[in-house]
Amino acid sequence: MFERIVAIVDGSPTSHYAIGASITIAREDADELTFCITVDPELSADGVGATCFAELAMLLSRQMLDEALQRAHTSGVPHATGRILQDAPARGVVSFAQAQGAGLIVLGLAPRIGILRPFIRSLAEEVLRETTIPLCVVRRPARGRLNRRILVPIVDDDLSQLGVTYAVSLAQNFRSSLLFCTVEDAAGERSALSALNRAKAEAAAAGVAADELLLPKGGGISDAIVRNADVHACDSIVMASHVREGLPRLIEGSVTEAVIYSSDVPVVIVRAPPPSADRVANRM
Amino acid sequence: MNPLTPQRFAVPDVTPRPQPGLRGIVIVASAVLAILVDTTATATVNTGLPYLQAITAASPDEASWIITVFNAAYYAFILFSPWMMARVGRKRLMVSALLGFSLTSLLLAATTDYPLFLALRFIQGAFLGCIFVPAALLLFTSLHVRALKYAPPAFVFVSLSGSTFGTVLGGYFADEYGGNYVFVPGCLATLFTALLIAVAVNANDRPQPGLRLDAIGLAFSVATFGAMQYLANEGERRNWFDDPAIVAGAGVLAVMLPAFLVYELFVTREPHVDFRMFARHRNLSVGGVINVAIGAVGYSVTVFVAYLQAALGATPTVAGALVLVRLGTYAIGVPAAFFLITSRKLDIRAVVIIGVVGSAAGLAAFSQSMTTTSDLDAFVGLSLFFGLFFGMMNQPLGALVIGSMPLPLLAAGVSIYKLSSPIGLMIATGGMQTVLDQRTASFRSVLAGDISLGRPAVDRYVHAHHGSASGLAAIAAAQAQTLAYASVMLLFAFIVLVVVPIVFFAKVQKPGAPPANV
Repeated sequence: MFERIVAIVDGSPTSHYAIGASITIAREDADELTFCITVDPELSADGVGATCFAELAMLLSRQMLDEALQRAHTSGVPHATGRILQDAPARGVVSFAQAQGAGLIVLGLAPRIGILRPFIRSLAEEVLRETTIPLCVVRRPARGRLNRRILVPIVDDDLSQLGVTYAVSLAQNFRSSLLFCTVEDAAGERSALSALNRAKAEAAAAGVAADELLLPKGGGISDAIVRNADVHACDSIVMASHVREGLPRLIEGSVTEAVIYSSDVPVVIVRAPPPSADRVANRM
Repeated sequence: MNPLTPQRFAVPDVTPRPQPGLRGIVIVASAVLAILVDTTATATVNTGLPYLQAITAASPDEASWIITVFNAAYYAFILFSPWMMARVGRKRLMVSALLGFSLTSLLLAATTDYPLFLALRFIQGAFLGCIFVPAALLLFTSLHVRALKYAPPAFVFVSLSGSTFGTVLGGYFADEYGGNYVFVPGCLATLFTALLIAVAVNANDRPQPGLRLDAIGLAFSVATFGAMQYLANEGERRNWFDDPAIVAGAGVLAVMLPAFLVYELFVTREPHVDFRMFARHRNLSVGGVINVAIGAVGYSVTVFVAYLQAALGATPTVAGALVLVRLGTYAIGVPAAFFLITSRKLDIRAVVIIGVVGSAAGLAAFSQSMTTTSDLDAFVGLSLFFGLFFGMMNQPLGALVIGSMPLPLLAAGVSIYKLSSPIGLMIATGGMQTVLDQRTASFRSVLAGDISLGRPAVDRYVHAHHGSASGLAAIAAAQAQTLAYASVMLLFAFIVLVVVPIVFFAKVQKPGAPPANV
């Protein structure tokens, strides 16, 4: 399904978890796994007086890639490679992943101070802004398989439909079961149930086992998603994201963002092509 | 030495080993603390020197040796510390040096015997000299890839802050608790840092027991720096070459410095300093020379503090606090310079020049504001202004001297960076004290010529004070001293401008194509 997976390495503890998750996924379904590390190009640039720091960065990057490759080879992933990208982290990884035709980008999510969260974008958010390649965000060490049972939060809209379609194809490929969940919204129970029924029907049509879960209104949606992933022994979450920008991001926040910062299981995020791309397509 | 036999240099292990989580934070914090301790300790003791002189009952001639023996060992061991680090390993060297410094500080706090005091000061200087270079390397090799970009400005800011902080810390402890207590903060801080490093840092670098001690080179180095420091301290006080001790000191320097250079360059097979790296790495030479000039300007702090205390009656704590306010704008100037360079908004040389011109303007403004009736508050804004540009000027220098070295020479680059500034300070101590005294005498003579009963102000003063000539003489002396301080401060403004032509010798390549991915 993925063919090529790109995993971002940066030496942080969560990056180690991401390496583990990418190896687990690659062992089951990928022709090639590439570990990427980005080194700030300013370090190597002439004229800023950072030769020795650039050498240190390259030495450190090679060490980290060697460790990741060693883990991949001992875990039975023979086609693993490493790349040092001299570029800004998000831009470098996305360009490389697009050039390689990667089907998934895996990265570890570093913890952030809550008060700064609305103002500073994480690498995961930056990568999401730059590409529509699905992103697997890892915050904790993986527990066993990653795709045995997948929680899929949905609402009754087109974006969720994208998430459902992706989750169904993932489940089909990995022989996983799905748990669709939604929250009673202002439109009432009927709207929520119809979204669940449509998702279940799509799963059934693909031969994928799926359950449903209707969460009562009230309380934090992201908390409910994370809690139920744990309660129902799901080992990953698949979500579709709006990738909000500017003021809406500051005011409304993002359920996806809240989930990735509190989930103990990996979260796979898919996003629709940006509106500009749609407009271009419509014009054509 | 057979001229065909290549020299062998000690290269300490600089393998990066960043640790994740809390441990990584503790390691970086302990490295920063060690750098701060190093830069603070010297300034602290210098501030408390008059008290130490009283405690050890030392004459002015003897008191000078309290500084001289310490700095001779300190400077020589800064140069020697890369060799030590290669020989015994980074962790062992740092823990031993920090504990040694802590113990000698404790003994110094309890000692009043002058000869023992001097011996302990020498040992203390040797221990302190072994802290800075391994601490800087511990910092650089403990940072994660993304943090490495910020290593040069963070390092420069910590280095700048330490010496500034030491002045106020020394003043406070000397004011509040008396002379011997100036050793207490250093003792406690080094003990705490040693414990942090002992617990958090792995001893995983590889010591090289096969390295042979360059004892003769080290002895030449101690003698050279000792002679330089002695001349700087005593030259003016002893009226330079009128005094046989100064002639002897100059003789020692004239013999020992060339002997040190020749021995390290051509005689020994295993030198502890590679002087040829100045020829191979132009930016090290340029940055080193600029750092010497900036170190000389560092003496302006001593002049400013002396003015505040002598002319305005400020306590050492208040004078130190007025210097300390610069930290606020160092915190802006250093990152601003870093941003301008890394974002390619300005060439590294342009940033240095902006910093130089701003610093010179700041020093000139200090000079204009230094009168016998100035308000202390007036210097707060000036200190902030000066700190902004001084920080801007210093940031690229760290990058030039340390950053432009290849990784195996990183330790040597750090030691040169650390040492070049005190060399400038030594030159300024000797030279500027002479200028200060001469200017004071000159102003006094001019003022004396101007004091006559024909002048209404003088006439009014004499009548108001019942013809007190001694009071009038004291006012004239204070005025002459203040004018001398102001004129020396203006001289510093011109000295700092010397950096402008030197910086054009720096090798700065034009931005080219982005580096290829690996």
